[in-house]
Amino acid sequence: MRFGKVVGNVVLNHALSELEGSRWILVKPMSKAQFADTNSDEQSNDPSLVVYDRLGAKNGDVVGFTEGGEAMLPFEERIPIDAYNAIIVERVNYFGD
Amino acid sequence: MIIGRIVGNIVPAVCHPGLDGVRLLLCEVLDDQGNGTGKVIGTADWLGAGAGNTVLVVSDGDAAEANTNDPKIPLRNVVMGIIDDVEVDEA
Repeated sequence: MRFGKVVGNVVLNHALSELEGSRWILVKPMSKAQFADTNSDEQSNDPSLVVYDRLGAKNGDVVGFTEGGEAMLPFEERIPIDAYNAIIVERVNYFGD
Repeated sequence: MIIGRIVGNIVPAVCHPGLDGVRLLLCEVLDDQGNGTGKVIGTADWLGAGAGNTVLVVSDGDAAEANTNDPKIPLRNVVMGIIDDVEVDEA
């Protein structure tokens, strides 16, 4: 599970039928420095990615998302997604170096 | 499986119902020499790993299902063991 900040959202006008009516947020993965201080401006160089969201995350939220095949598990039928927003983070306790 | 060091934890505000009450730790992935690589991932933990512990983390969903017998949890990384010692041959 990686963590990132919601920086925007994505609206599709055409999508696969299983993806109708779903909500997509654009998430920029957080760098290690941002765990220590969430508004530090040292960005990670991972690209932003689109994450399926059902928890209602808004811009600026820190979210934890699951990637890969496990992103499909919460759904009844197999939906072709690979990033699912599992957590909207209340607080990050970081005590690394 | 990867080797990591526990560097923090996460308090969720809202989460997937399956993750309710699951202990969520921040773990920095280590390289062979045990130094941090700067990549921090979140892992679930049922073993009680503490701050600074070196842990073994799996990234497959079946391990999460084994711990919670709920196949619907969107979770990959689980702490599978707390590492005592790592010996690396300097070949």
